[in-house]
Amino acid sequence: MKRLFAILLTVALIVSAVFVLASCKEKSEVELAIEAAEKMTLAELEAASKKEFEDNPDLVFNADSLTSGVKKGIAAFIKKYDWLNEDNAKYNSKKGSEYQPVLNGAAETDGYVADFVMIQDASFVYSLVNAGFLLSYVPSGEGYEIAKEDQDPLVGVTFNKIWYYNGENGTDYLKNVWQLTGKDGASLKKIDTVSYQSPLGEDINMSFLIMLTSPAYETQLKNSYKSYFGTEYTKTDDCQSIGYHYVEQFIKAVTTWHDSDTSEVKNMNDTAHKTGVYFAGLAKVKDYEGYKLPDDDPANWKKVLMGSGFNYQVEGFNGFVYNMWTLIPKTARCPYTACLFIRYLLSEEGFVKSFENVPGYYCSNTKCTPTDGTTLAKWKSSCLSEDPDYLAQNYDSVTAFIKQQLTAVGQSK
Amino acid sequence: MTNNKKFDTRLLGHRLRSYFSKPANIITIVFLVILALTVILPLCTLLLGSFQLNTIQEATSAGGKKGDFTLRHWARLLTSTEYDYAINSLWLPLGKSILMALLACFIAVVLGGVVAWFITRADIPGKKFISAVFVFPYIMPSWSIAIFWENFFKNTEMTAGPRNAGLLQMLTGICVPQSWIYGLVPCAICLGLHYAPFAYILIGGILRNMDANLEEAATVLGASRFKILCRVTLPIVAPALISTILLVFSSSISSYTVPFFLNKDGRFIALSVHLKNLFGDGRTQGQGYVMAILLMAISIGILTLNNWFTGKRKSFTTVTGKSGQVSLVKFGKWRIPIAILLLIIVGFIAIVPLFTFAMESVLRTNADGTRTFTMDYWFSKEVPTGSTKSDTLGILVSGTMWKALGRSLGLSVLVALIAGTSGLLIGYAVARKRGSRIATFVSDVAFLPYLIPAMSFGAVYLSLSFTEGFTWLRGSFILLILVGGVKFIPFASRTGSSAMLQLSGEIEEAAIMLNVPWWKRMARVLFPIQKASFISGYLLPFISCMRELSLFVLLTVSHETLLTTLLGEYSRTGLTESANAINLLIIIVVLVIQFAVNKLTGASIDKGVGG
Repeated sequence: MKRLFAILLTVALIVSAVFVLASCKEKSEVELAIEAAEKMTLAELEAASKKEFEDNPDLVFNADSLTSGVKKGIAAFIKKYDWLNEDNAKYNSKKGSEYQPVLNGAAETDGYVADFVMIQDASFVYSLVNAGFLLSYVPSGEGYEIAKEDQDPLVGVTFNKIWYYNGENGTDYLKNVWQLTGKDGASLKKIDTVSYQSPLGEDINMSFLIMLTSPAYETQLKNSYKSYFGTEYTKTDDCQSIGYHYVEQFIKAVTTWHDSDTSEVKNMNDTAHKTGVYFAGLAKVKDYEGYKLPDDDPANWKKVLMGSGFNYQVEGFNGFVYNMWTLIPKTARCPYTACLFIRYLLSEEGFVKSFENVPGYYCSNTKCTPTDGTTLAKWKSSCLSEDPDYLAQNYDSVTAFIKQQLTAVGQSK
Repeated sequence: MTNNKKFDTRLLGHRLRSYFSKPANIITIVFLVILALTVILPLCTLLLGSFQLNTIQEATSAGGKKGDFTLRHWARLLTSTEYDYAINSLWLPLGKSILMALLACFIAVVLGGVVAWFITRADIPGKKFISAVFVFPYIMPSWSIAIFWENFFKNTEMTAGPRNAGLLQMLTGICVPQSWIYGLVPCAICLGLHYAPFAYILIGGILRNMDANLEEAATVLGASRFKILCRVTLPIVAPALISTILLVFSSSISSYTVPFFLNKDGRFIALSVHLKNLFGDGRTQGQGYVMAILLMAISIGILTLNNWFTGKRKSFTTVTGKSGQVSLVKFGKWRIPIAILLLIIVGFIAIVPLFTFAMESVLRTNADGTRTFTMDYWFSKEVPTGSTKSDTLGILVSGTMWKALGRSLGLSVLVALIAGTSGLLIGYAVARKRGSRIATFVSDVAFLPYLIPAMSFGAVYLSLSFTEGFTWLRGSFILLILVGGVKFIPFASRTGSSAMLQLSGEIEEAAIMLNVPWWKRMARVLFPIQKASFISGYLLPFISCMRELSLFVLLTVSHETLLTTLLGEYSRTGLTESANAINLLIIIVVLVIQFAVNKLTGASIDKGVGG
């Protein structure tokens, strides 16, 4: 009996082991390399990267991204490591709308696309992370401190889009977000020169409008509504929530649909003209020509270019905080070099070389302190943030609503 | 039974040998296979894509698996009432795009037709110059006219800041309203200006070949000039007019770059721009396929209409024999003013754009808002921070720019060789097998790439490059050559067919009698006779490839690959001055090559377009 029981137990164990092993997905070479890299010291990782190029002299490290910060980062990275040069380490500029089909194509067929990608658009990034195509390498050790929630997927840089204007015009602008909806409040006046880039051409602006409809921000919208109009918000039949109401009123109130945040910020130095309130990335301040004045000091542009966000005191919200993730495709050809580059990019030295101490770039490695005297934590608490799940689940419906509002504006003007 | 089988096999073998002994048959079969793989297969991919979940994001959103069959793309784009989605995403843009295309047709036909009439029928001076320069806008990329339009009319009333003063404001102080710079009407005007030379070439060709006796007879019979125009001239040019309208309409409605550049206020989203937005978003790729199919269906419908019209008007081809007498309408004292007016028009649409690009590339905006002259964007060796060492500010000293120019030229030459030779061979097969169904089918399929929007065509080949067995194509230069070669076959096949059809079969038959091999007949007999037309069949794909962006943008690994992708990157990153310099460079390169080829061989773009 005992023998029979032992045999049955053995058979059961073997069968379960077979099932367990079969259900375990085999890890790809890149996943294994990343796991190994996370345990390596910097010297070991450098050696592993060098070996990749020694083993295969034809190898090219491709870094794809929208941000020129990666271009600068690669230029500095090449100078630091002698086995890398212009021919075997390249930055490829990739605009989001032209890059999504490429990344999707690679993900669906496990094809090679690049060795490192730095991209935005939360719901898109999460879909590829969940599909196991984009992987995270988290640098650790001395000089690195990355919050748990920023590790998987790994956030590289966080940006903020805020409302700002040229302070030399002397107007004390935004105090409450409802000033942007075209109606005067109880004590504050509406702002009648609002400039916003069309969400149809700028995915982050679309994400911002979608997030405004999220139940997560209803309370702060209601509170700021009451503060501005002096009455409680009452739901109407034509709008399903205060967020939808805000988006509808805001789109109607936009006076200029600008084409490029960079160009708009460049135009802000013309103080002879009454410039409007722009919704643009704080990082774009680098394109403001006053910022490049030879006698520039950190306070100069801040005084001239008084963004609403600098005091975190706009009722409702200060703007929108969004991430750019630094990831490694599952099909990367030089994973150790990709890990080494991420490690460099998020180091104090690499971050400064890549993003040149420009305000508005916030590194996920909190050891790299922002140069604009602000903190990412404060921005996160005072701004709307991306919620990948909400964006993915509500994208179709809310974009249909936004398109309807945009069409109405286009037809009426 | 066995004997019958043997006989059948022998007969079949004999028939096959006989069939394949004729070069035209071999060419037809070879191109049937090639076009099935390079054109029909991508079309099937487009169709399939519209009925399945194509991406991970689509699958997540639909709660299904990638590859699952679905009707949701069609249903959502064509009929969804959720916040009027179908109306706002398809029907309204479609209506506006049709309006834009109709307006562009009107402008192109009126401008091209009027200039053609003056050049062929009036006694004005400077005709040679006007005729030569008037085709510039068609040689230039269509987006360069859009950028010129913006450069010329932009003003500080619209957007504050000295860099926003356009040429018109700088010269006259006049500020035009924003609706004159961006939106449906400016798009239609720019497309109309771009296609006006096309109308000029087609209508002018008919007018040149028209027997002037017909008009003179009407004059002798006492008909007024207006009556002659309405009752004699217009009916004669009607087939060319209808062809122009339909082809300009078809090209305008699927044009991407002009509506893209002239939509800075976001008010006018043309169907083609919408198509790119749908393709660019993983969540809506399937809808992109649907829209591409709809755009193709519109174009195919229009071309069928064109064939029907021109087929009905066959009787008019009898008047295309050249009359010995060319009687010009005498304008007396109005000769000079008319010539000056034409010169002004030609100058504005063909020369001023070059001037504005040059101006924009030599003016620097300083921190204090003033603008100063500089040649830095052409010659400065200054290396911006973070650039690789070849990446200099001045484009003429930039290694990146020269490499991109080299690749663009190389690509265009190879594409022109592939498309031009294919067009020539298809033309030969069509002419020798005139009336045969298979040859007509090959000819029709060869024209299909013209009707597929460039972005969709690129997207289909992108997915091919990720398919098992074809991954070696991914990011390669061969992929660009393949896509370009196929996309630009239509121009060459049309040119090749019309040139071959003009040749009498007797010419080749005489050479056959003398046992001259096929390749020698082609090289020594047929090609030299129609040299100019055939070379035009190479020139058109070359020019089109040099200025192409949408087709290659998804397929290039780096923004530095081609001159147009580099231009796109400079525009995107705010390096407007360098972008203008590159734009000017592309136009100059294309114009110089067109001029050189014309001088050396007599071939020209008008021969290619006009057939």
